[in-house]
Amino acid sequence: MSHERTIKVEALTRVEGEGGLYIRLNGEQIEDVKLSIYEPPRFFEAFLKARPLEEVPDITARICGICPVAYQMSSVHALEAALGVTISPEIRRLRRLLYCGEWIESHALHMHLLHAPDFIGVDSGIELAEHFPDEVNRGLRLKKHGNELLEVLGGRAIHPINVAVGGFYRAPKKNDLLKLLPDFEWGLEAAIETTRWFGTLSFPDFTRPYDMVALQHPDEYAMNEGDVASTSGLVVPVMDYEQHYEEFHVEHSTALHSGRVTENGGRVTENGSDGHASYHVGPLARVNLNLEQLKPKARRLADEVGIDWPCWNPFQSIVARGVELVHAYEEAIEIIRDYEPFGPPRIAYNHKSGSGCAATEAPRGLIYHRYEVDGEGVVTFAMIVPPTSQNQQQIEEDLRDWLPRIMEEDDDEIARSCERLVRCYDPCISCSTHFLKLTVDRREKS
Amino acid sequence: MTEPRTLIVGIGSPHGDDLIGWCVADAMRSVVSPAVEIREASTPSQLLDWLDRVDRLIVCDACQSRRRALANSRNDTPGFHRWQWPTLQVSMLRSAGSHSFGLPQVLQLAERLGSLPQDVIVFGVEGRQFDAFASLSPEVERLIGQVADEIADEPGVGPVLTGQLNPADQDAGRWEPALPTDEESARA
Repeated sequence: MSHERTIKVEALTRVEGEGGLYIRLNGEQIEDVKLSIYEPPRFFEAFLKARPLEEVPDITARICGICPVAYQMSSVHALEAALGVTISPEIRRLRRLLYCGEWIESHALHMHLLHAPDFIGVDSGIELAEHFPDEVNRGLRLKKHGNELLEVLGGRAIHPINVAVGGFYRAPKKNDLLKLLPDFEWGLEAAIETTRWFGTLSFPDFTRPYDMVALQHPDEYAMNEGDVASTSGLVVPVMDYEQHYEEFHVEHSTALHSGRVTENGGRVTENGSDGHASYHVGPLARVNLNLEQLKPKARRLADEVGIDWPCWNPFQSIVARGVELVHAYEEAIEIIRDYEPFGPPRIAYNHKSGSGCAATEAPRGLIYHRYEVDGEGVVTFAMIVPPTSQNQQQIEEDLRDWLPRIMEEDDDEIARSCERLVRCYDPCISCSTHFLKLTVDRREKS
Repeated sequence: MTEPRTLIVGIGSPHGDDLIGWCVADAMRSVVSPAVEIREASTPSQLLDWLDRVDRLIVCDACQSRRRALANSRNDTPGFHRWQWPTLQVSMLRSAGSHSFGLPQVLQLAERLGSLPQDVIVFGVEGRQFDAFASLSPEVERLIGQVADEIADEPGVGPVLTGQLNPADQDAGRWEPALPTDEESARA
């Protein structure tokens, strides 16, 4: 006898992007789990080809309304590598400050409005606000600080336009930054309180043997540069990234997956695996790999929140985000206090043909860009590997491991539970809109 | 007694008809009274940063209606709608950039936290295509001036002059106020 059950969730909420989740069960057997992405591919890379390289930071910033800085930072660093440009220490610090703004805004939003409801037993940030108005208001103030910093440094509230290849079009005025300081000092303490609160939440007992990947830098908590490091022990320079991590196409997704190239070189194996191993990028990977480089308050907080690092529980990524939120405030305050206007804000360069790559840490995880330019400064090749491409395969494997624990639940609860796991990754499925549908195809074994 | 503070926000993205929110906000700049603040947002959640001491909020965003929106819409202009919050109609909006926390959720959250102004008006312009980095469709581009005129007619927005789209500036999404007619001058 065969019994088939199908569960459909028309809209998976609190996730960026458009896609679907398909799960096929046969009795107790999980036959298939697919994170399907079906929105039309947007060909951003093709759009960059034949454009002057100076346009790339502004165009890439418009790919995503949530994390424009990540795209800008990765693109300018990659183009500077292609041109042989070395930026000044002042520009470098200002870029870190800009990234702090994006981390603060994105982390505060995700923690409070998208992820926290999963642990409080409510369905939305709106319901959360009913029960915890002070906490949600605090989170919104933190988010606002991040946006205000982006506005001062980036030139405007939407898609920052001040970032240039070689530096910034304009260095900020000291007073404009100093005006932010009182709010940021309040924000630092508030972020600590917020993270302590999240540390008290009850998390499912679920750990996985992840290969976590993040940038690592000898002198700082890596944001804008560093080697690509893995909890499996692999440490490679960014220029070797493509030798170890590779994008590949899967039928059920219009977005490329990215996997670690295994010993068989990515060939399909006898058991059907395509030969790419999953890996995990994001705040949990960063804290696990770079714990000792957190700023002092963030480092102390990491010890207070009831987690033995390294942490292998994806549900506790909300706490890792909180620790990074505190780090971003600490670093931002430090840079603002020390800031002196400098010149030139942009390093001059000559066009020359070349190729360059860079990786930076978007709020959701490592993002990799590579460009080739010709002698006229025109882009001839572009490659962008966003964090969610890298996490897609990992999410599917997590779900395979998670499903046996919830298979006895009714279909609605299975759907909700899978959504909760997906949300741990803060996926920005395609830097676009729409919905994620979940289908569970359940068959009873005869 | 202070004037009620009005905030106009255009939500958009650079992708096809999602541009409409930004274009309308830009068009409003030259016609509103100085007390009116105009902002552009790439995600609805940015609204939450700007609601302090705002008495009247007007939002313009692209929308994709799955069915014809009729109720609660005061105008019969094809292609765009005016809704007064609260209304279920707003849930049909296709917000730019992110659906993780869309416009209806943002308005509901602000209401729950007591930070939503008493008067909230949403203008939804029906988009036709949202291709990456595409321009506005001609049909939606033609609506910039009409929507801006409608917003300008809202209480407290102004202008003294009635604005009309300058065809020469359509590509840039800019518009300029038209000179007043003799009748309008006489009334003034």
